[in-house]
Amino acid sequence: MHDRLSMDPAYRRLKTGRRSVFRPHLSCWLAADHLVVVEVVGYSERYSRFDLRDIQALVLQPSRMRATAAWIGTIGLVPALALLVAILASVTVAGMESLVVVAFLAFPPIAALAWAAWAGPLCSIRISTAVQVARLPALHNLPLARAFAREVLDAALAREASPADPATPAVSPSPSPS
Amino acid sequence: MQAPDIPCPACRAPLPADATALASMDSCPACRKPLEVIPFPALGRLPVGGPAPEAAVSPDDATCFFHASKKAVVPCDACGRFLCTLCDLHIHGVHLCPPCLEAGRQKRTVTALERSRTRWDLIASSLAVLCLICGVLSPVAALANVAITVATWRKPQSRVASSRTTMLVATAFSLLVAVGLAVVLWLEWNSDGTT
Repeated sequence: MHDRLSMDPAYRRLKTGRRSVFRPHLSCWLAADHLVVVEVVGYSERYSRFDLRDIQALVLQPSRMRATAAWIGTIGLVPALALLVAILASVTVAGMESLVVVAFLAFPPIAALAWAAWAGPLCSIRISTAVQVARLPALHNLPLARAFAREVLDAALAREASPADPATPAVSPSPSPS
Repeated sequence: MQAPDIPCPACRAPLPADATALASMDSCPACRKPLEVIPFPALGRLPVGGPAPEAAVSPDDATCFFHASKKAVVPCDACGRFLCTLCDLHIHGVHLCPPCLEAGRQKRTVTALERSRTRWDLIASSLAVLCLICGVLSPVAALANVAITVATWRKPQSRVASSRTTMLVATAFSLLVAVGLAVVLWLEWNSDGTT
C-alpha cells in the first residue's frame, strides 16, 4: 500500500472536473470497498473516507444558475448593443466598422451562452450515509456528477455481490497462548 | 430502531425511504425543488454490529487482554495483545486494539484515520512567489523556504500530489531569485563605486 493515492494500484481516480479558484479543489479516489474524497482547502488537505457498504444514496440537486446567468447576460446585452449601434450611427462611423465593434462586444456573452449550453447545468452533490450527509462542493457539474454517481454505484453493487471480507474478525482463528 | 431518512438538501424534509420511489423522483415532494436521488444497496439498512464476544469455556482458551472472561480471536497487529471480537478494531486490513488505534491516530501511523495533512509544498510555492515580489526581503523568504523544506522533508506529505518535487523546485527557484537579486545589488554597488 503506497502512501500516495495516485501511486497505489488499489485506487482509481474519478473525474471531478476542472480546478476553480472559487471552490476548494477536490479529488475522489475509488477503491474496491471504499471511496476517499480529498479536498484541498488553503494549505491543507482534508480526507473523507466512505465505505461503499455505508453509502445509502447520492443526492444531486440540479441548479439552473449557469444557464440563467448566461441568458441574463445575453438578454441584457441586446439593448446595450442597440444603443451602441445608434450612437455609432449618430457619429457617422462607417457601417462596416460599427459592425465589427458590435460583433467584438457581442462575442463574449454569446460564447458564454454557448459554453453554458455545452457544459450542462450546475448541481450540488451529497453523499448520504446512516450517520452523516457530506457535500462535495467542488463537484458541481451535473453530467459529471451523474457519471461520478454511476461509477460509485457500480463499485457499490460489485462490493455487495462480492463474498464477505475474509479479514473480518468473526472468522479469525484463535491465537495460541504461547 | 428505524433506518435514518435521507433529507432534502434544500428544505431538510425527509425523502421517501423506498428505493424505487427515490430513483424515480425528480423533485422534492415538500419544496418542489429539482432533485435526483441515486439509491445505493445500503439504503434502509441498519448499521450491523460485529459478532458478540464468546465466553472462554476451557482453561486452554486464550482470553482477551481487556476482558479476561472473553475468548481471544485475534492478536493486535501493533502490540500483540490478544483481543476478543469486541476489542478487535479492523481498520484497512489491520487488527488493532483500542489503545494502539488511539496511539496510531495521534502519531498518524494509521493513514485511514487521518483527517488532514498540511500541504508544505503549497507553502513552499507561495514563499517562492513571495521571493519574486518582496524585493530586498527575498533572501529571507528563500531562507524560510529552505528551512521549511529541510524541516518537513520527512513529514507525511500530500496524498495526491508529488509534494517533495514541488518543494525542491520551489526552494531552488527562491534561492535562484535571492542569489540573482544579490548579484544585481552587488553589480549596482560596484558600478556606483567606480563612478
